Amino acid sequence: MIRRLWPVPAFIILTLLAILGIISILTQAQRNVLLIRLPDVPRLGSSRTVLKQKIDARDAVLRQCLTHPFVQGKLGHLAGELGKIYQANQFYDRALRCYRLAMEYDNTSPLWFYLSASIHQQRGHTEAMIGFLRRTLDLSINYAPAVLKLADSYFKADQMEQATRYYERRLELVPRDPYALMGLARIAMDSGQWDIAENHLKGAISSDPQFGDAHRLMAELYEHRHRIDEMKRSLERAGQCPRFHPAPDPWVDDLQDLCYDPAQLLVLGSMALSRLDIHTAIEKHFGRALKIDPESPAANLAMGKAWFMAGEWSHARQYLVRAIELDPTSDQAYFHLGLISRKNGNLPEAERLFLKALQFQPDNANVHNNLGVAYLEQGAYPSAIQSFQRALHIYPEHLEALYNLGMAFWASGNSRAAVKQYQGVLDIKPTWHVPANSLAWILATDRDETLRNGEEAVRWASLACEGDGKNKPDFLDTLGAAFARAGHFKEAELTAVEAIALSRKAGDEELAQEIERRRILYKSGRAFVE
Amino acid sequence: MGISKSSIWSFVALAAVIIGIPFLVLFYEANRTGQSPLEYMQRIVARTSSEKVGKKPSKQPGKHMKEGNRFLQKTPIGDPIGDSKPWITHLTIVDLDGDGMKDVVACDAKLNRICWIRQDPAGTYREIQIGSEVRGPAHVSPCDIDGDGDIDLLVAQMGMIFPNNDRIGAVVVLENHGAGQFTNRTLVENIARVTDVECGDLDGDGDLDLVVGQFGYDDGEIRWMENKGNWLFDHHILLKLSGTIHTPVKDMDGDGDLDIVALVSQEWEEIYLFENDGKGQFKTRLLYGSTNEDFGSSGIRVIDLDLDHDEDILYTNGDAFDYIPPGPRPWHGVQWLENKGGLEFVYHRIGDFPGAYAANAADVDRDGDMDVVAVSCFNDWEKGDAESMMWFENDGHMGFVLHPLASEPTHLLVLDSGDMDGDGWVDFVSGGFYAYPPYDRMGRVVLWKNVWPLLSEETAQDTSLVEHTP
Repeated sequence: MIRRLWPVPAFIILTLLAILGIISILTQAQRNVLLIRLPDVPRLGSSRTVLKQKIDARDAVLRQCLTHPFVQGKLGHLAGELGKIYQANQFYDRALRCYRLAMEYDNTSPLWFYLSASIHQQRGHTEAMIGFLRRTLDLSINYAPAVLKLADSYFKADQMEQATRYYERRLELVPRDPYALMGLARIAMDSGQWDIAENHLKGAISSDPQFGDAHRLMAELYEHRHRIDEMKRSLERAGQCPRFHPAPDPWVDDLQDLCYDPAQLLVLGSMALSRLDIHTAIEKHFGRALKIDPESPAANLAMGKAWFMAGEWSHARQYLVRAIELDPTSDQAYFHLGLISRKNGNLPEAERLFLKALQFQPDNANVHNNLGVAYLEQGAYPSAIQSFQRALHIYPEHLEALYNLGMAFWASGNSRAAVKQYQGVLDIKPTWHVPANSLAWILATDRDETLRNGEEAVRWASLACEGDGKNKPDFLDTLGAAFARAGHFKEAELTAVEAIALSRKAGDEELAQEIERRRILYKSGRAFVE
Repeated sequence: MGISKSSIWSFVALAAVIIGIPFLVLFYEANRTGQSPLEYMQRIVARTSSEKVGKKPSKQPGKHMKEGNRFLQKTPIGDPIGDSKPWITHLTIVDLDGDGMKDVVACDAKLNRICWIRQDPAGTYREIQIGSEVRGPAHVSPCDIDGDGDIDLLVAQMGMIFPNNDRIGAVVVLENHGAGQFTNRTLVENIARVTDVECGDLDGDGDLDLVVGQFGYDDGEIRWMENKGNWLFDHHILLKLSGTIHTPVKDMDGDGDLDIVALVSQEWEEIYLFENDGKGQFKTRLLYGSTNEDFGSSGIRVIDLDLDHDEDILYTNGDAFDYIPPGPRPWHGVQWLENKGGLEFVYHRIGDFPGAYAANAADVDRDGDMDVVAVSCFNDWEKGDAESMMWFENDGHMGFVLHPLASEPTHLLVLDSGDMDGDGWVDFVSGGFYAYPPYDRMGRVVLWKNVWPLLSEETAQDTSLVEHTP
């Protein structure tokens, strides 16, 4: 009997052994496959030691996890966390490989799908992005940034019905959301539904009065309806708004805290500065860059420039001096120290620092321009003219240098050259009040009577007094002088009175008295001559 | 003692289990991970090392890899740089005087002029200014706008290259009077800054109309100007968005009339098609858009890239004028929108290229497919080996293999291609734009002569790029 049955237990034992062996092999194989699917750790230079440590740490935890069987959920999470650090430091391919694992082994978390979508978004893969966003919303139906992103993606893919659906969904989640309202307005305008578009745009503007693009679309709508004054007003309002910035998106925005690459942090800081978000640039980006690499001249310089922008000159000086200690050839640090000296009224020191900056970078138009200003303020007109001309040789569209050159000509007694210079500036920046005012002053008051032209002076002075210009006493003073030159003494006197009041309101008694003397001239029917 | 039947069956069953289960699992796992069973098996057998993945080439190098980065010989043409920092904003290859030799016409925004770099005699280039000053010229297109048989030049005048929202743009024609004499004629001025002017008979009335792209800054637009004769034009606004860069005119839907494609950058990052009904009535279609408001669209060119007899769109993104200092972003690169017919366009990435600014498609190696050559204006120039010119070699199946071509000169904003010397091989001409440092590897207008036929397999590998001065 035993002899007959021996194959059965043997079969069972061998089968069990085979299964155990297979499981072992497969576990090992699966681990191998997963290891192969993991991205290799990038080679990073010495300036990115902290980043390397952070990546190594997460990578090691993940690889360690692979040695333990039955931890697939944790594995997905760890892969996603590694992906986040890769994404935050712009290793996008590696991040995507990690997210692929995360989506496979931790497929209930919407984060990995969403972050994959955000990489495809940055790369312009709109169609791929839509798939990941849909999956995100399957898992997290109420994540409003994903809804907006999906709506925008459908819009960009010219699928307007879907876009409308998701913009409306976004509005359910974020009532009066200006981004969704603007999206709906664009769709309505494209299909000629102007009333609907107007309602959406009004909603967007009332929700965020600083939304420049909404004002611009409103201007287009008014133009379509031939409501030209309203169109102009909308454009004017748009011009006063900050530049476009995307809607907040915490899941992606939080990645910035995982950026450990000083160079990338400096770029992020620079972008924040361009949005005039100085606090974020200093705290979140430059500060972190310095923490990671306190010896970085670039980070110290960036911090110094940011504090300079914030008007905190002593803070700025501290970082700029440090930047020079670390990099004695830092032209930008010398330049900004020069700017601080000029702001403090120490013109010889400013001049010295600007010259030092030029020693290391002779082709910086901004430095030449500021050196010119330092010369101008010290009465060294020929040197000033030379500096402005050098700036313009390097950068012919440098508006400040173009204007300053006019000022230098005027200050040196060459009003004719100044007039030509100001006219040149106004050709390329016709809405700039400052040169308009300067030009008007010469045309109204110059000693050279062949240059004087009352009507032209009134034209330019009136332009200067448009908008905010009418609140500037010196601009009104010019307008008064221009009226007088054109023979309109009554208007001249009235304008002078207004200018005097504004001067006194601003506490500038000296200017008020000067204008008062001119007012008396106008009253007696005479124009002012410089 | 014989082996019983049941024993044999037991062994067979055991063998089946031992062999079958692994196979079943192998197939299951391979299927689950999206690999072939063989590939999966290879991976199991292979010694595990994640580094191996990085070493695995994603594509086989093309058959011309050896010649790859050695086949262009660069020669500066036109006026020397001197002590200035050139701002060449556009250039085009054209036989302007009809003498059978290709010339180059360029926009020099530093000098505010249009330059004619004339080839005469063959291989010798001399630069002259044509017309009078054009402030901030951004684009020049050859076009016989007055129908008198010679080539006039349409110039997009920005007024100022750097950001400015004032209405200082203009459309200027450099009217050709023959014998190299051109005069400026302003067709429209005091409009949002103009970045492109193209011509074509849009309303089917036999004369040439104009399409005008206006970048503006905050307030841009796209218009077409209906030619009413005697230099008079009616204006029709097609779109009011800021940031238009290019507005090429081509028959995109194959219906025999000219349509307009437009690239709108700034925060929009969109490509539009204005579909013509043949009579100058246009229907607006959004062909592509990126939701990355920082995508950095920098240029488009309409061309049949896959040689399937319809027009595709070659597209670069690498603009970084918004950053201080300007620099590359990881998503910069080159892509194309494949025309699938029925006004359906499908996006394909060709490759990453930091700071990519202009791309051109041509059969560089004469292997029967269209390659792509691109230039960069915003690579990381502090790194000495940052590429300014790349060749994306077409593998014949619209897969592209990347070959660096040059890292000098840097800051290349524009590129055009054409057979400059009539040898049947496509050459290139690039233009440099130096608004920020470093200034140590500058080139104003550079001819990249294709010397492929002169290179032998043996010498190719050792031949360096040769610098020639005229």
